[in-house]
Amino acid sequence: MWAEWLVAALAGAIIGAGEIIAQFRDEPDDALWTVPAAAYMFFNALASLLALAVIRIFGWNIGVQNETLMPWAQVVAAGFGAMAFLRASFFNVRDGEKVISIGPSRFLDIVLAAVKDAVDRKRAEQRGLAVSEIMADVDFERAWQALPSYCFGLLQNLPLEEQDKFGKKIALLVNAVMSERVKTLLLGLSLMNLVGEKVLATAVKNLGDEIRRPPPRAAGN
Amino acid sequence: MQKIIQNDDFGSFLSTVQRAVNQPQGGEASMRIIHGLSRNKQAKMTQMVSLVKTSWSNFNESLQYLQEAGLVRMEDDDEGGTLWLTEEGEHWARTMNLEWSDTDEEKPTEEEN
Repeated sequence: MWAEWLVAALAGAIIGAGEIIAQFRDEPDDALWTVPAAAYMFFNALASLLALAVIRIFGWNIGVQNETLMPWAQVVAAGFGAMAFLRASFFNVRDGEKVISIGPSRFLDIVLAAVKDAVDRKRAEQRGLAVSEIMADVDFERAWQALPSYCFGLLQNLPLEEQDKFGKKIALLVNAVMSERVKTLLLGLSLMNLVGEKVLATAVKNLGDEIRRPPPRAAGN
Repeated sequence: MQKIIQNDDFGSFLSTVQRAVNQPQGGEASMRIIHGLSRNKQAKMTQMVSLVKTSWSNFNESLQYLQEAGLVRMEDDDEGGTLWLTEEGEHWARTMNLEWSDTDEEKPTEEEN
């Protein structure tokens, strides 16, 4: 029955998707819509199909005698069996302070790392676009104290250690030899990591002219 | 009636930033460390010292400052340690690369006072 094969493949893919979602809880959509994530789910589906094929070839009935239920028991066993096999490691190798697992799980670790890289790249693009849009007219000299203070005031419960850490970053920017534009982008980026895109956009909007670049003076004035 | 004085939600930020701005630590050397790490994501301490072109004490000060700011982390090993950019450090490096060229000679170096 083709439906059994379809369910086995779906079970494998869903298990793979669940693992990716668990790793990227903050933005699961971004993680799932990447090529490595699709490859990861496809590979899990393929492993389930292979496990079902092996079970059928050897005629394992998984202890179920009922002829209607047995094929579905095989499907469930294939799904969980493939999952257990792919996540197994046969032995560990120590390389300096790192412990490397040798076995099928190693392959999955590599694919998951590729998913993480792909997600980071995608997020970096999105964050970069959002920051340059929000901070487009912001003047660093006017904003480096007012904007973070306002954002932290909106958040209210930002831990003191995080405020200290952030203060050090901003002091680094204030003393750095680089263009005002890059300083402004870095200020926005660091704030966005801490308070999120919406709070940053709201704060920039609310502070308005207080932190905006002054308009160029018209000739003759 | 006694008035209870609460800490500001941003008081710690303001005092840290004012203190750090008035007593600059690291400065340009810190930026050079981030830029140097942006190429390979990691580097040996010894490599980085020669790349940053500053005194050992200034390098150490800058490195400590970057670690406290959460931009760089260090892993100890037999060769004096390996430096890595944190996730946020990587974001900084990407943005800084909009401006910094690969030729470090074009940027001013910080002289020891």
